[in-house]
Amino acid sequence: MEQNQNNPYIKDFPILFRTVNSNRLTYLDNAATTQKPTAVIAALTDFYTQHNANVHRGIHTLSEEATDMYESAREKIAQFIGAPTSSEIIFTSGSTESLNLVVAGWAANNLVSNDVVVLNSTDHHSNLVAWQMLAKTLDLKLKYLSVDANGELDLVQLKTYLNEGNVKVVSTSHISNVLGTVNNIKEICKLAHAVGAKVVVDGAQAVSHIPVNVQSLDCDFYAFSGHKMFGPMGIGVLFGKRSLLENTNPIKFGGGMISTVGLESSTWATIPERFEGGTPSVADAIGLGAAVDYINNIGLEKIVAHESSLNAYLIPKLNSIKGLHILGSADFTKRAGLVSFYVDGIHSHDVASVLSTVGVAVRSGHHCAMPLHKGMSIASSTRASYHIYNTYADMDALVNGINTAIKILG
Amino acid sequence: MEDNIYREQLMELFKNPAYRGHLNNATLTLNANNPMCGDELIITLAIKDGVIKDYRYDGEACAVSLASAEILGEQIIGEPITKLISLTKEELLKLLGVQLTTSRVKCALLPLETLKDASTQL
Repeated sequence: MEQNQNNPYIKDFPILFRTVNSNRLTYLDNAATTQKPTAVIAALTDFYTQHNANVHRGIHTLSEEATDMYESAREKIAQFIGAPTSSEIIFTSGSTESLNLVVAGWAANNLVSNDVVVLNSTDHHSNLVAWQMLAKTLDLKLKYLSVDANGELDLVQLKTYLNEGNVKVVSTSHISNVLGTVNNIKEICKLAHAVGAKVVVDGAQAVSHIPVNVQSLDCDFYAFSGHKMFGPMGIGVLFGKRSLLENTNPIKFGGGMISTVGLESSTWATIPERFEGGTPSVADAIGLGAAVDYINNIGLEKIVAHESSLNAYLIPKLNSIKGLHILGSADFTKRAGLVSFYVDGIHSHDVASVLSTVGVAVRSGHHCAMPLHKGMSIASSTRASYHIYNTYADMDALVNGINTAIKILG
Repeated sequence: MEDNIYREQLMELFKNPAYRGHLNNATLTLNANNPMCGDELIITLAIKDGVIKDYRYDGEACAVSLASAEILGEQIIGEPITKLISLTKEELLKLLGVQLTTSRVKCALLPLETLKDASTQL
């Protein structure tokens, strides 16, 4: 019943009751950021109205409460992604900072000239640009994995790269933010580890959409953002295997991350505090903990089934629109809950503009994946991405809006 | 209200362009790119003795930037470069005749800003 307007989760998201341009809001930009449930908003309010204090510093009651709440959020997140210990959960500002910490804190100190880093050509800029910068500094070689017409990563090519030698890192998204492909991280880890390479995963589009267990994936680092999983903006996570985090240098220096400070040199606190210099985003971390509770209450299996039924409903409708082309797999059982497309002769911004006039929010442009769009020889695309509160009616609003755009602009 | 941006006037410019194309006798060729949207225009100009004799634009862009490039043609062909330089953003947006949101203003200004950025080469 969750695919229709009786969807029981809609009422948890106050913003879904506002109107946009005199229409009901149809929010289909969840891959950019999800909306926030009352439970998360209440957790933020509760922190600021009842417990606000800095963590790990004071011994007064509020500081103790704030510290306990902050650490309990870390614990919840560790359990949620199957991390062996909560000390392997680093709070960051989001996936971008998490990936930057891997590159500047770990890779910069463990890779040398001529080492090879294998990247995914369809990835978000956040998992490309930091590596490009490090490659220039350290004279690393970057090799890019391509995808087939279905958006599947070419694992034969990965094997070739691994056999060519010197591969120290394979860094890829778990789910492509444009193609919706779910990459086979377990297999990639197996192949990479066989030659001693580490695997870094950008899980921004995966966490809260599919079950993620970092131990069963056996990945070395896993990055994700709170705001794409019902949590607040400005909080994210880096999971790293303890042995690797021990060999990672902090990239933010200051209060909270030191053990001792002398006038000439200092020593670092243990992990995870070592990587959380300055006052962390305490309320947002606690809000993310509330988001994890919210997701656990729904159940990830239910979310997977829900998104899959929306795919099954929407994709055939999109396929029947003349001149509309879907990027990535035509087999909707092989994709996560998002679909990017372009319409012949109509720019994605015009499609998104017309959709906005009927209250439908989608993303248009290159979605921070310029190499992917260049590779497909298209300038931009329109992306609809869903979550637990979306319904068949939302999909109908999208399809009707696209038809209107074609009528106006085609 | 954004729902009015695809009004008749703008759609007329978009669907029946007079200046879309490429000048073979161009004295200056400019690329107008907005990488965030994926707008890519090529603007060709024929300039003689400080006067813009002819102008064309072509490429892939949204209806707003294409309509704006069209209006630019109406405004500058046969005019001295000084007219182009003195044409303000506000004037151009007024000529487009639609209320644009912040993100679409960027689309509308792409052709004009490209020409202004290149004004030292004109």
